[in-house]
Amino acid sequence: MRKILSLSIFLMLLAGWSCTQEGDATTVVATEEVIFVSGDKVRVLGRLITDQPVTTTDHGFQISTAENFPSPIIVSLGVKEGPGRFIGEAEGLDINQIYYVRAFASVGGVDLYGESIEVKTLNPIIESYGPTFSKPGAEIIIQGRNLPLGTKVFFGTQEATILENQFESRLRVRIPAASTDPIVKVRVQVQNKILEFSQNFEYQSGKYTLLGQFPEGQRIYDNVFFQNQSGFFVGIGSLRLGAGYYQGFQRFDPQSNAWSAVNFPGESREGAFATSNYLGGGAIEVSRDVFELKRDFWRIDGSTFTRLPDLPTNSFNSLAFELNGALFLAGGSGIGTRSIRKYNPTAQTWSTQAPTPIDINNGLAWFVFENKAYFVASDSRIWEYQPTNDSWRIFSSYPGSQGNGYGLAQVIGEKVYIGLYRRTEQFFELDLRSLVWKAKNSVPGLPQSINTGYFTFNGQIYILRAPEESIAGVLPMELYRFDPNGI
Amino acid sequence: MGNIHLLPKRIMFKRLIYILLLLPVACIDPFKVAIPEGQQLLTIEGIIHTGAGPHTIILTRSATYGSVFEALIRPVSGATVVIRDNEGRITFLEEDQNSRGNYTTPTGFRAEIGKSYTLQIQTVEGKVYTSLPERVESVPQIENITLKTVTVPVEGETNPRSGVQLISEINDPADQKNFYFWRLSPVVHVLEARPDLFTPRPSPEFPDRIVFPKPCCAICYRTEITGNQSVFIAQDDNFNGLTTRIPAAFIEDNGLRFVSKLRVDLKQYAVSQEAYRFLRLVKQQAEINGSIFDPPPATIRGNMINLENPDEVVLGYFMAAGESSRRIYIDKSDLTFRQNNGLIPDDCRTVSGASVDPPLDWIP
Repeated sequence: MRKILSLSIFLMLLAGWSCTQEGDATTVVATEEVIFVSGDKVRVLGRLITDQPVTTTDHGFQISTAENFPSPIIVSLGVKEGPGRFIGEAEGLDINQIYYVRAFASVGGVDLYGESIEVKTLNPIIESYGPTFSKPGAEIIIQGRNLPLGTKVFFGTQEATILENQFESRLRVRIPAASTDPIVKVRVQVQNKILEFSQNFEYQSGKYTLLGQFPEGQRIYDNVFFQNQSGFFVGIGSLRLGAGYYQGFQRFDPQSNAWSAVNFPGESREGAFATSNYLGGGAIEVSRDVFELKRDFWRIDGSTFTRLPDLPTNSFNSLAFELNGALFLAGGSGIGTRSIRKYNPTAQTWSTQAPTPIDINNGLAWFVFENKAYFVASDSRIWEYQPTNDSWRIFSSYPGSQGNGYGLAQVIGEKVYIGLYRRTEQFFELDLRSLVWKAKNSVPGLPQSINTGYFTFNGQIYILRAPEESIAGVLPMELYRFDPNGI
Repeated sequence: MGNIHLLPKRIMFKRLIYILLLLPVACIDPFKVAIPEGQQLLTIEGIIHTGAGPHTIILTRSATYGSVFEALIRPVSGATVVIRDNEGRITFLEEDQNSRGNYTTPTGFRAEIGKSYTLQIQTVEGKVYTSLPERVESVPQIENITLKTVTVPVEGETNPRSGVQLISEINDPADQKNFYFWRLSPVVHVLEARPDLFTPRPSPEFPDRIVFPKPCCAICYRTEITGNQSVFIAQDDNFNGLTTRIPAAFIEDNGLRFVSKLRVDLKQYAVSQEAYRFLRLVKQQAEINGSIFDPPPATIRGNMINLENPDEVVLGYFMAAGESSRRIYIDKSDLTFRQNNGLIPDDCRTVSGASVDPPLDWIP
């Protein structure tokens, strides 16, 4: 009985052991999702799924333009231990092209493939760029879509350097040197596709050409300058460091680029006023800070001067301009910083105009356009003076720095060029119709230079620049020709 | 004689057993459990939708499990965060300087129905994360909002907790599978105070507790973020193509909110199936209450992936959804049960978010 019981227990134990059977391992590769598509790049998510420990000798993705993957681009991610997600990325694909992509894994010498997913690479698109006006070496930002690495940017024919490509949508680009034209097309090239912005890029322009020096290497200050049909005139100012006064004028002929001396029958002085047709006022410093004010008043005809009746008041550092054939003498001491006197050349009479809303002296930049005078006040607001009804209004506002004053303003066509104040190199163009400001290139030469004369001829501005009086050395005055549209 | 020798042996054997039993008791060493160092995981929280923005994506690093002193939830600052649609259009998000880790879309940005969006993040450490594409689905309008007063008994309290449940009535479109998610805008409510009962704290200046009535102000309008108390979601398995009414939000009555009028915008989102699944799991985890039927606590994987290491756990979910919104003014008479009015013995403007001027668009 005991033997039978033992045998039964033994058989039951055997019965329990005999039912263990190993299951087959199942390994699947899935192409889960295309998580990124751009112009030349796709990024795909795959997954290796298995219920057993697994090691792949290689895994990744295959990409092909044909659905049967005849010669695919292989994104190999190498050995993978165990199941899980994997991400592959392929670059350098053709833009706007249909591709098929599938995950793969090599397990135990067997290649497993996921399902094929169709994906189409995107078209590059440009949207905007800015600024549309700047100078070489500065940066612009181009906004767009699907602009991959390898994108090229051209300004006209000049290729620009792409400094940064953010998310294939924002290009930070250094502006290349201009070729010849200040206004160029901006083009973006992606593979063989060229995209062009409708908005042109405009280089900051303004070319300065050094024409020569003032005769005899002289430097004069607080001088008079004017231009008429005979040329540009500069003279009767004080010589550097109290060395007396410069006698007479030097006339510059812009056609021959030659200087010639012009005699002035009156006394030399400082702080006088001058227009194309009139000259007068000013003072002679007879002792340190002691001035003898002059009231003589002259008519200018070419290079000859005819004396007129004296001024009714003193005029020192006043500002003079002509409108509708009449002379207006404004500001300074003597006249009064908020006063304007008008001279009627026919009757040879003077009248007083309405008080000005701003303080005026010859340190202000001013210009005349369409028989109205404009003054850049010390607070940068530009005031327009209408002589017909003796009225004032605010016209615009100067965007730059006025430094230590004494800026220049010259009108060419419908644009006025304002700037080059003392201790600043800024120069701006104002469109007198649209009131749009544009920066112009900075003037070369010594930064501590001041304007001792400026004129306009044939669409270009001539600027005579002198180092500040305190600057020592053999530094003569230099005459520059400024081409507003030059590169 | 033999028995005389056996007895001491038995006793000796017993004593030996006792000694042997004592030995293991004396040798117990404390068992030290080696807990792996918890990671501070990147957490993404945010939704973009078809409604007015700005839309906010919040990036944080989770705290490690353990003492509250071990780590804090910290904002992830200085990251480059962009949203990219399926046409390659990139929208850069800017970090809110007043709320680090919050990245907001530019003014005017709205998601477009039918487009897919991915969130891409580059942290200052150079790690790049991307979401899986989220497609924006259209969402039906909220046809009507009905209110239901809800009371919840509280153990040991005579007064139950209470509040208002907002029920959204929608005409579910039959031609698409819809997954709904509701949120509330900040509420604006009339706040009543008693400045005439103001009593300054005892101080050298005011040693006695005497009432110093303030001349102003008894009525204010308070803007307050109440949250939605729970995750309100639904899918249209049971009402596809039908008009239905679904609980969509709950605003608790704290004794101050429903003294007069309360205004709130109910926002209804059509989220993706994956987002719905994520929210459902979050809801399940958030509503664990210790019952034997509770699901086990678990980490819920979101839809963000580290491109260098797809196995890195990134918490949270980036959602893109269609949005419809409806505004409702709730009068105190709409509630069938209200908490006792709270007393603010001070100028109502001392309460945060309160102002005497109603919002410009306050049209009850």
